[in-house]
Amino acid sequence: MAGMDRPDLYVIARILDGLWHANGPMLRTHLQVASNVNYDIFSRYLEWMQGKGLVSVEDASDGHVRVALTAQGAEAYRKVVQWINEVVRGRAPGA
Amino acid sequence: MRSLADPLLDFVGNTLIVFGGALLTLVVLVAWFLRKPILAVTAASPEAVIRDLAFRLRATGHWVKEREDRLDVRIDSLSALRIHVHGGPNGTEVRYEVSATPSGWTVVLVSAGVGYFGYASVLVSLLIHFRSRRFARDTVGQLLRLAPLGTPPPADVRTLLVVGLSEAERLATEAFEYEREAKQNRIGILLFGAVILWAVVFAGLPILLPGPLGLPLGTAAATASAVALAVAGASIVTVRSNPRIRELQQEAGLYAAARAFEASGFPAPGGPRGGLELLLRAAERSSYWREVRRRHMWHDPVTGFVVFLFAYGGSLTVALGAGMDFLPLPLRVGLLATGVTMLLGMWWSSRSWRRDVRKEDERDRADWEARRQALSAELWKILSG
Repeated sequence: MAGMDRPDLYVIARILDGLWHANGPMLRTHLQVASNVNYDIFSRYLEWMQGKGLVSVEDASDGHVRVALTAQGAEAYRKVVQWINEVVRGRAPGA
Repeated sequence: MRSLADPLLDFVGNTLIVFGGALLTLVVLVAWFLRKPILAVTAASPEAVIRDLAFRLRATGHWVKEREDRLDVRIDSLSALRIHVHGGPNGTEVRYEVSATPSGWTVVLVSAGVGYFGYASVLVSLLIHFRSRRFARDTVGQLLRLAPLGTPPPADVRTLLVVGLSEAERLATEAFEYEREAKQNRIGILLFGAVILWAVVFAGLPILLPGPLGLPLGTAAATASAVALAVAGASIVTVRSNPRIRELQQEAGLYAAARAFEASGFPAPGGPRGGLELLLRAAERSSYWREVRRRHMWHDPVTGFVVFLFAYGGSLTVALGAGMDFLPLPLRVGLLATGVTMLLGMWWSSRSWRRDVRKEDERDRADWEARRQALSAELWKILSG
């Protein structure tokens, strides 16, 4: 995918934060507002994250598109938080 | 009839009265260090107790610094508490020791060294002592009774976010306070310099310009130059320091709000929600926060106190040796020699502290660069599955 070889970590963090705090599927438009990027960029990030198995996108019967964190995405979120935690605390983190 | 020893006895007596406060403060400080009352004894390992207690304190909004065998807890702007966790004959012992924040140490040690202010220092020391003791017995005691000590905190994302954001809040707040104090110190030194300039111009100009105009001109020139130095210097310091101070204050507030939200689970209106995003920013900024803290002399109370003691003692002893013409000459020479030695000691301690800080900065920078690269690589590995 063009221009998404190395996406911005902060945008991914915002999307993951939004989904983790929502504690369930979230409306795509709400998630886009939370991620603070325009629709096109958000769509590219969503596609990238879907490709990595971090999120799933569902078309609901009410016509709204919802995004949810997959089990793999939740585990990646936990690992990333744990890893950064160690860095902030000035320790040599283990993977 | 007064004997030759009378002035000497008066001098010793007066010195004891002036420095009585400092001596009493010293007694209080020795009591602080020696008394480590026990809070609890448990069968859990010291490592598990430290982790558990640190999490309980953080989750209830307290500022905790975790070390290998103790926790440093900040209570308010002056008081702090050290919680020591060691293996004992009956199991792991949790003890407390009253302590002070860097600002608390500054107030106690500086006022202890400045003549009659030493008596105020005793009162401040006792105030800190009683606040810390009450916190240990009431707040920490209550937390210890919540669940058996050594219960590991839940290994979930919320726990990790609370711990990480709490640490980021502590680092950012410390950096903010150190930067603000550095600005106040610079302005204090400038004001002191302005007073010296006033005295030099006031005394010097009438000598250079003898006559009826000497004194009024000297007074006017002394006041104008001192005020100009103070105002211009303070303005430059303020303009240069304020953006950094404001930025650090905003960061500290942001992390405090984020930590409170993660701990409670309820967002404050308009408050931050991005735990991971804020942690990422904290990882980028933590190196700078540590650098600000390290550059502050009172971060290391022992070095700060030694430099202050040498500077204050040295200048006082030199002034006594130079000004007290009623003292025997050998005693005055001895005082002058002692004063000069102490000032040399101040210079040497300060130089050695600066050298250590520089070395530590270089080490930390190299270490941080390696960690930053590892962090980036690891994050992409995790996110890519």
